[in-house]
Amino acid sequence: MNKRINRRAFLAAAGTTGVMLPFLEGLPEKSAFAQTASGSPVFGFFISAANGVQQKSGNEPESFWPTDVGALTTASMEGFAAERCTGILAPHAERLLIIRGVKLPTFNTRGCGHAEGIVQGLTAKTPNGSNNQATSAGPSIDTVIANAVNPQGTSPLTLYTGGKYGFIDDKLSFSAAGQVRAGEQNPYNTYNRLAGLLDTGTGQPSPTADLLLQRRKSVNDLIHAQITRLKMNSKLSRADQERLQLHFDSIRDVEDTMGNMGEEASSCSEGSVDVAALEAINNGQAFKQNDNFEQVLKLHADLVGLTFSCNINRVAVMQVGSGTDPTQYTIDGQKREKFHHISHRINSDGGSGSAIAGAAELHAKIDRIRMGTLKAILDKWAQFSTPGGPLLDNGFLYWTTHVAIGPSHSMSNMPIIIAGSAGGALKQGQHIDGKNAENGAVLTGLLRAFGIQDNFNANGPLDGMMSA
Amino acid sequence: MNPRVDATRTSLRLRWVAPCVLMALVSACGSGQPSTDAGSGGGPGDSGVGGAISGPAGGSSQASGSSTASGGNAGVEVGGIKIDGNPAYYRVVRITHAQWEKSVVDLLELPELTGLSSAFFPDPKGGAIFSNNENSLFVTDTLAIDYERAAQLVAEDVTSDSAAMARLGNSNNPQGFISALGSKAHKRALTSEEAAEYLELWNLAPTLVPDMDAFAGGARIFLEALLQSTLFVHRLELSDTGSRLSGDELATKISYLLLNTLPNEELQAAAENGELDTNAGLAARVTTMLDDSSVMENIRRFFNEYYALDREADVVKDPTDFPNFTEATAVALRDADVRFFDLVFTSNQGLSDIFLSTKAFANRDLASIYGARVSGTELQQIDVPTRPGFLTRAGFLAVNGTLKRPDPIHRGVDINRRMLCADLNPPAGEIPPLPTPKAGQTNREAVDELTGVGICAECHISIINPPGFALEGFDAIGQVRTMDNGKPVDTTGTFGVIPGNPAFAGAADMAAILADSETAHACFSARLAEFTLTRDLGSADRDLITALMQQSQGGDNSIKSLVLALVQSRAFTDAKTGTQ
Repeated sequence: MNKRINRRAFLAAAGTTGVMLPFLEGLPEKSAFAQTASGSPVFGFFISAANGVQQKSGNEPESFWPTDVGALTTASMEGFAAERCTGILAPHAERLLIIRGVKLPTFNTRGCGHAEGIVQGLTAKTPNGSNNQATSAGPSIDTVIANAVNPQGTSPLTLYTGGKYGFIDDKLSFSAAGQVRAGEQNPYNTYNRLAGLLDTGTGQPSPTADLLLQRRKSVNDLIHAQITRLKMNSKLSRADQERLQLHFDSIRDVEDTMGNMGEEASSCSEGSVDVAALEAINNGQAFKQNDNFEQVLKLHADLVGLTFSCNINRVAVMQVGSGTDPTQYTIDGQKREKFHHISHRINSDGGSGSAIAGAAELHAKIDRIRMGTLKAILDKWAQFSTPGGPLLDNGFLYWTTHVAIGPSHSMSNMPIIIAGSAGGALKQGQHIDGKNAENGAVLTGLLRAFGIQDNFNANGPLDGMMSA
Repeated sequence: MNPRVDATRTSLRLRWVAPCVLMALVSACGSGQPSTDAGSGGGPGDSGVGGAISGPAGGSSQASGSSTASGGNAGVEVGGIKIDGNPAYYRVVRITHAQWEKSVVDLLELPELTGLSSAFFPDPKGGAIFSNNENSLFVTDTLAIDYERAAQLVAEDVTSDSAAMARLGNSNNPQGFISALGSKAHKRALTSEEAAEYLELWNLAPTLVPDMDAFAGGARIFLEALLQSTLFVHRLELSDTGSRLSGDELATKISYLLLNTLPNEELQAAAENGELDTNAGLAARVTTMLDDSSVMENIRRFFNEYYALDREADVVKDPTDFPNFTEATAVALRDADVRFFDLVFTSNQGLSDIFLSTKAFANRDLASIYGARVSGTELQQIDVPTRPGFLTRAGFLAVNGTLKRPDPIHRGVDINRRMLCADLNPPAGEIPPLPTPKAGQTNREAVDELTGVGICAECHISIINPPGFALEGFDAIGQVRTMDNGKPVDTTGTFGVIPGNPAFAGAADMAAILADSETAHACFSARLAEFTLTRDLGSADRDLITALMQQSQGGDNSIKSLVLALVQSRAFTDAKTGTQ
């Protein structure tokens, strides 16, 4: 069943924003709502953070995982929150699926391992190349999802928090083997691309909106005609043709795509994001500054929630930190060593250096900061709705890190936290044990939530993760 | 759908490299250089020897969506390096974001860059060294949004500014306005069909932009379309396969290569009068351009991306051991190396001079490092007769150093990868960390102790460590040192990867060996070709790279001359249709 667009909100927004017209990623027949039993679209947000978590390893204590496998309740999580950082997520216990005992395909890395870990995180394949030259051997899950449920040519929303330093930068989203997508670092740019979609609250249609639409369509028609003529040139290779087709598909008329925007989702509104904060983070290079790291992450996540609420895209990914994330967190009032160094337990990106006193505890405290950010994101997401209902009912957020443990760079027992039921497809309120399965099983389960029957592994979804 | 982009990268591999145990990578989740930004990773890991990514994904079944398996490629050997890339030979190549900025300024005669491209969705670097590689340059849905927004903003700004409109001329002459700007943006004369389409769009202005006068409104809609046109945001090569590119196409190619923008009037005129239809005419035009300072922005881009100079600006050192090493010092290191390469280029020098030049640049922040009498913040040219070439410049040495000590492994890896196009495979399994030198033990001895035994020795003894040891006479920030932990510094060794295993006694000897090395000249020639041709190299480029290598080693060896040779090669001048 196609649902009517929120045209009134759009027109109001278009009129008040003046020149800029919205770009609406439309969701026509291909991404029809009837993909799940509930008939509502599913939305997925994948996050890969840096440097592993502080979990039991050698003499270092367990500071991450819930105490027991089994049911998660707010009360039970509050019970271990003081020692185990996942307990910070207690208010969202009923939405959580925490998975232990999962490994990446290649856990005996060739070299440093950070890049290899990021690459495997959403591709579930042994990387090609090694060390910082590692790249994927196939597409990442966001590509698979986007190809299945987004309009043709609509890429996943790819984001990045932190700095890019030229060593291990974008390594998470791959359109195909070896073809990495870059992530947008500046949340304000992401917001700008959404600008005009949002209900600014006037509730009044603008007389200029129709003119804006017509002008845009006229321009688009001209560009389409140019590309069509160019594509007829017999000298172009197939690769050239594909490039031009991608350009053609990328230029989309608003009217063509508004039809399936969905019911008016009240949270599809500018009021759902902190525009002042977005503008502030755009000032100079503020979005890259160390001290703004967690805030940028939250702003990105808010915009993903908004994107999903407006049914603009079905899938988003975010790489948090470079492969050797050097963010310096303020812990107990003191700005501490670089996170990568802390994760190594020494003052070095390499294997030798002076020891950092209490590094394991510092790592655990950073994890608590990160879980606090995740909780804040989920608190915000709980306010977002989608055409089919609350976002956390119809979507999910998948949080992991690119290695499991800092000092060893182990890729076994990867931290995986999933929040949201994905339209009822995923088990909720559970801490389960993957029993050394590869992460492909988890990714396959997430594909099933979208109604996609492809596999990242040979054995189907991970036992125990699906609700049915 | 995404375009099928060849997943292979240009692989310039030193043919003798077997599976190597590489200590450097171990200890380097980064370079061992624990600085922020590029320094913490800016070591040899990013030296960009893009290995050819070949073969389908193995193992578990694949998800839906393309998996572009490139298949294997035997490649060819030139001067000891292997060239086995699989270039796509795109005829439709998007301009880079930097090129977009300059093109808009030149098209619309704006007083300054708009800065709008800073909000454009970033291009993924992938495995390419150079940002102008054709593989990374195409329009995605997100970028299309960005182009649209930028076009609307620029069009509104220009058409609401009477001075800006006056600069563009053709007042109240829509056909003239369209023809002049359209031809410039399309990099060739508009066809009648294109002109008619733009005029039809223009004529909608009274309806679509009623609050502007007819001419300004028409210009606004026209400019919105023009700046999003595929003919503007791409560079096209549509001549017959195997034939010489048209004058317009060559003018565009040359202009974007050297100036990052649309062809100017001189270049357009040269195209129109047939000057570019012969190599003699093309060479004359390019020679003039190469001698003009306007090319330096792109020449600097080549050196910066090849040698990863920007990482030097983020170097951090131990404040106790090096209390005077500040952020300003690091920035000065990078800027000094930029000036070094500027001088090499503008002085008509070549690769040998990169290894042997005794010119350097220093300000007060770098004075003590070089023992120079320099004051002030401005960089000044100095003579450093005992410090030949880039490899003894403090920037290179500091970025390949730890907080406290020189890092011969990373220095060696960087030299092998960047200067010799070596493909050094990483070690397998757990690698022990580098130890701190024991009492009375030199840095070299500590490295030798760890890497000189077992499987590690296979690569470290003869390949990786020697060039790094040659530079042990420079400390973590590039200062000269003769003693290390109470013992004289030992900078001797043999260069096992160079035929004849030449011996060296220190940095100067090593520099001379490299300057003479066929492999180094082949590697540099290949990189320059990648940059000039804006693509990966394949087997078909063997003869070209061979000729360049020989020229680089011979009399006419300036980098300018190499560029001149490249732009006159059929690889540059002729149209080609890719097979992918």
